[in-house]
Amino acid sequence: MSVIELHRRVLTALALTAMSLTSAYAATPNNAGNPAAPAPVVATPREQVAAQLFEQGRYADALLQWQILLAEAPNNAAYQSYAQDVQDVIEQKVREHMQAANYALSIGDSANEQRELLKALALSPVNGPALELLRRIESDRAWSIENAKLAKLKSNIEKKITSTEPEHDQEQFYLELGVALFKEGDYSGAIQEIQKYLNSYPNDPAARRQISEAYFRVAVYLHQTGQLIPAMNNMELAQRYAVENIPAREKPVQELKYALAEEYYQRGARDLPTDRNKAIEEWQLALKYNSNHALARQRLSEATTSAPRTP
Amino acid sequence: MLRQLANFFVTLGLLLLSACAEQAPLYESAPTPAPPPAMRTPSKDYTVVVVQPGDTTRRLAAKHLGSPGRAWMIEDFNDIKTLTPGQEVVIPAHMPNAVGVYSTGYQVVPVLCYHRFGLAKNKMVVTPTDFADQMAYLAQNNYRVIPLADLADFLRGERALPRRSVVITMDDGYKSAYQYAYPILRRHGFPATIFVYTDFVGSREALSWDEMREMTRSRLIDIQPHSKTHANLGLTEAGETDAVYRERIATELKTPAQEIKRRLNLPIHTFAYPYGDSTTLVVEQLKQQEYALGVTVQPGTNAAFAAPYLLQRSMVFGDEDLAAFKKKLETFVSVDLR
Repeated sequence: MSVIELHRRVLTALALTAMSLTSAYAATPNNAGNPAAPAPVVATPREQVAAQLFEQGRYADALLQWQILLAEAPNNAAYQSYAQDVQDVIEQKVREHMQAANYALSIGDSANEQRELLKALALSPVNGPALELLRRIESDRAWSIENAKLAKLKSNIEKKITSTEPEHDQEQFYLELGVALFKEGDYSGAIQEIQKYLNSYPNDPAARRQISEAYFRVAVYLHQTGQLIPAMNNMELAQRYAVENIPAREKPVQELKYALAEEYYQRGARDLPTDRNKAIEEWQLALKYNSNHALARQRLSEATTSAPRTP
Repeated sequence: MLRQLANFFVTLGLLLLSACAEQAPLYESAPTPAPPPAMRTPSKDYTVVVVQPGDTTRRLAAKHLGSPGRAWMIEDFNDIKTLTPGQEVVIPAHMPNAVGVYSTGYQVVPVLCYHRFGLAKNKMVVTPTDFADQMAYLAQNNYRVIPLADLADFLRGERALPRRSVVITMDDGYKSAYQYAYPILRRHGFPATIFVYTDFVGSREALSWDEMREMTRSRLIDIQPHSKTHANLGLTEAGETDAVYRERIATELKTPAQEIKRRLNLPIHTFAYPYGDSTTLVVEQLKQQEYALGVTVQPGTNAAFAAPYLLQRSMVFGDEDLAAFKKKLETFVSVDLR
């Protein structure tokens, strides 16, 4: 049976029901015993809504109304019949929409394919194949955007240029946040954020200069507070990210190296009685940071040439 | 006499405490997915009630649906916000349309993405005042803030979501989420998911595990992985072979999941890609490692047929006003599907 025939059949049935209900007159005599005007019986509001929804082509909504009516009167044969008829219409139309979707797919009309699948799903929300096909369309669209974005990013990196769409890139936002934090004096925060930008644009000179400067300032602060080893770690990172040589940094770097060399020398001197090998490592580090540290050189020479003490 | 008075106040205090501890949930998801139509009993699917004086949707939901947090089912099904005595209301045992596709259009769910909160306004920093205004707007305009985890069943077509559902997420795990956002979310009873990259934890700006633990105990906040190092997973490192790249991706996905499970005892379900970038290899590994969802930063909303590993999120910027925020809250796409 075609959809049109089903549709006509259901509407006819509804109309007949309405007529039979209105023709079931109850003659009610008035006080003088004369027959009064018949009291018409009309369909319930929900029955009317169901019929109207069907008329409007909102078949799933119409079916829902019949199902609610059935919940109240599960043995009502008329309700069962209407619900079944609407279900038949729905199934027929779903088949038609799925066929139309298939045709649209075959001619490469993705927009219409999606539309027909949505129509099928609107009629039957449990239509697994329609949901899966829609998901495939959506997935293709999302991957297309994702792949284009990554391709552009890789191209920018190869060309050693920064983002060409800064207003859209999340990386750019991290860079802006990092710069803002740097200006507030939050150098550690700045490093965190700029590093996230550099994860995608590692060759961006402006970002590298910014993070290098942040590491340098952290190094200077740590040196001032006596934390020499962390200071040197930060200084080395500052050097790694530096884009050009900065003469103003030479003196602070030198001072830090000398201070650290002295620190390692002193440690070696403390550790020698209990751990000769550790002392040797520490004096080697002292010379790494200051090759002119005469005492470290002497003690290292003595330690490496003398035989270990026997108990 | 004094002892009796003291006992009275102690008892009162205990009663109040127990009432607070068992406060009814603001929102609860729909019951377990509806059985297939062939197995349903129409008489059990819908209950028609006549509203009595004093009835509220929460009270009816508690009575008929097992939880006042399911009041949204009654409200959405009947398209009402309040009840009038004498009104006929239908209470659905299951929401009949789990995918939210109707003859008039289809439901979409916006997932909002925040980063940092603070007093100094900045593109990536939302002030507490602005965040409070945004959350108040959601509360006053009938939006339902739902947990991100509830999207999984919706995307499988198995469980309906409330109309006007919105999800809140926050990336990177900044301490400011605890300092500024969490108190505001608590005030409204709004859930949110914070995506943490575990190498960040322990630094001055990051949430500590104790802070995360405290927030998750409220049952409002969920913690999910955002990688280990915040590296861009779509990019290979210089000279990196395919095998090494695969191994690195596996570590970036597995390490934060293990840490979160170990320290917070939370189930893992969603991964947030650093910078929103992903590849088919990354998704392939997500599937192998028990993740159900992946979120990007592609702006937009998510229908039930969205790609579960490429979900869209709308970033909320600190330099935007409330009007811009409202534009990110589309929850229904109107289209004639007759």
